[in-house]
Amino acid sequence: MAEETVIKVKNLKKYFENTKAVDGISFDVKKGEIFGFLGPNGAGKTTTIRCLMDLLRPDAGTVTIFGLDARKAAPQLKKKMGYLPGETGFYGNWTGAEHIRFVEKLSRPSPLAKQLVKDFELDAKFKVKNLSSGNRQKLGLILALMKQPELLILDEPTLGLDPLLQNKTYEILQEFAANGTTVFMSSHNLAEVERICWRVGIIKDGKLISVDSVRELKGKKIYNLTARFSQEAPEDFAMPGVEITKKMPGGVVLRIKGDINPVLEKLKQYELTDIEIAHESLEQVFLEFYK
Amino acid sequence: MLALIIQTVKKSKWGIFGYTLAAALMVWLLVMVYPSMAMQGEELRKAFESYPKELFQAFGISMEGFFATLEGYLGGEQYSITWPIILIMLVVSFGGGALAGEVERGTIGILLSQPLSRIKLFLGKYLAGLVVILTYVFASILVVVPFAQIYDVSYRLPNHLTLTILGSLFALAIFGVTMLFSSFFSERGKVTMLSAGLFMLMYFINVLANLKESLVNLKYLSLFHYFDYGKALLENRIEPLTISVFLGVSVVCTLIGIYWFNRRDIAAS
Repeated sequence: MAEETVIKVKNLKKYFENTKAVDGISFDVKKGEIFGFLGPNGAGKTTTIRCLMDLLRPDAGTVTIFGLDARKAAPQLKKKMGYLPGETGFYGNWTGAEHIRFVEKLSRPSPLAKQLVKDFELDAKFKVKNLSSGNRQKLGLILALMKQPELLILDEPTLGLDPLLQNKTYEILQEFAANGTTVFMSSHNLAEVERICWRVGIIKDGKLISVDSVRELKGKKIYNLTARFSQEAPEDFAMPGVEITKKMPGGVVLRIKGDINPVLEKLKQYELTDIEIAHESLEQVFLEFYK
Repeated sequence: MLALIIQTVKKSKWGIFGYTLAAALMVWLLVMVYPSMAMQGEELRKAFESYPKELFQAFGISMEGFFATLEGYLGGEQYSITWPIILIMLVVSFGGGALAGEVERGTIGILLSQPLSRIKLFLGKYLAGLVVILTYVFASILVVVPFAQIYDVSYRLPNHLTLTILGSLFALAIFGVTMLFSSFFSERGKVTMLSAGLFMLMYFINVLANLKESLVNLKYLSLFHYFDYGKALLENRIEPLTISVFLGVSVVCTLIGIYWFNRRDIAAS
């Protein structure tokens, strides 16, 4: 496990008039790890990221990146950083290729850019104003990754991407991490951070509730399972963390906290005609596990 | 920073072309018409005597020189109102987009995620603006030279060069004010409205001060008072106070703008 600290946030506070967007959070991110920053909408994820990127100036606390003050050394640090904003703005009349060339001129030439365009299947000849939101997200990712940064800061990196491209993005991020890049990514998708992150910081209402390993996080899921049977629905689901929330003719809806496997094992005993599994929202997970 | 300057100037190329063309077409028309106006100068001057003299006073038009020379004529027809309005439109349009427009569009995220300090970003946009605006000033004023040659109208080149310097100083001052607003706000529209509103107010104050004796001191609050195109075109002179005011406003506004942009929150995505 990497030991060098790349990001050190200490007692960070940022207020907007009467709103405490970030209220005294502290955490470290180690070199080479993929750190997830998880929280519902309005929790303070984007505000924290903007403080890391020196777009917002903290009201209190310190942000240190690679041992340097994130504000005073901002231009120097950005040589080593790639950033994907939550909603990337582009120059509408420019093509993707023009954006890439412009970023190269502002930072340095990128031998990786062509490969990334290919990997993300982006047609870089189209003007951005004619691109879908998914394609714009791809362009944003390319602009963040093309500098081969030592630190990637990504605000909801797979927003608007189809499942295939989400998987591609995860692969690429894992490749970067394997090559020593530290990744700090925000998300409100529990499954996503479970999939690729090593550790996850949970933020709610501006406060950092916990920093968990992904293994601990896996135990904090809630499922809604709807099962329909060829015969009368059974009622014997007396298991830890399982609750029958609805009974209907030939069917049952279960609310399952944590591991779903015991319930699936139980269901094998019956003849099912249909089964549907949905995740509860992150807000519900937070209410249940992070009060 | 050079890449930023080039990109910004390139984005404005059609704007420079459009505004300069508009001013040039006006100059062409005026130079073309001037010889026949000059021939009827005496009759026209007598006709204008029936107009209230306050009307000419309000716009700083001197009847003595109006038809006597091309410079006097251009001063009254072009530089009293048309040329400054076109300049203000160009400056406000550019300035609004320079910083506030980048924040509004979200493209500030691309710029500030590169190894570029906020001060360099401000200066890059500022220098690009100078290129755009001074191109307009030089081209739109000195375009009189080829037209005067075509229509065989005599002109005094040194006076037009002096006007170019005066126009540049005036442009610097209004650009400084607009960039100051652009560093404060995150919406292009706000910058455009505030800047345009302020300059319209200054123009109005200057006109009012010329009309009413009791309000004459108000003129010192208006940048248009110091834009004495008549002196530049007819006397080949710029007052030292004019240079001080324009440079002073430009420098102070720019420095405040840099300071504010460097310390504010950027509300971009």
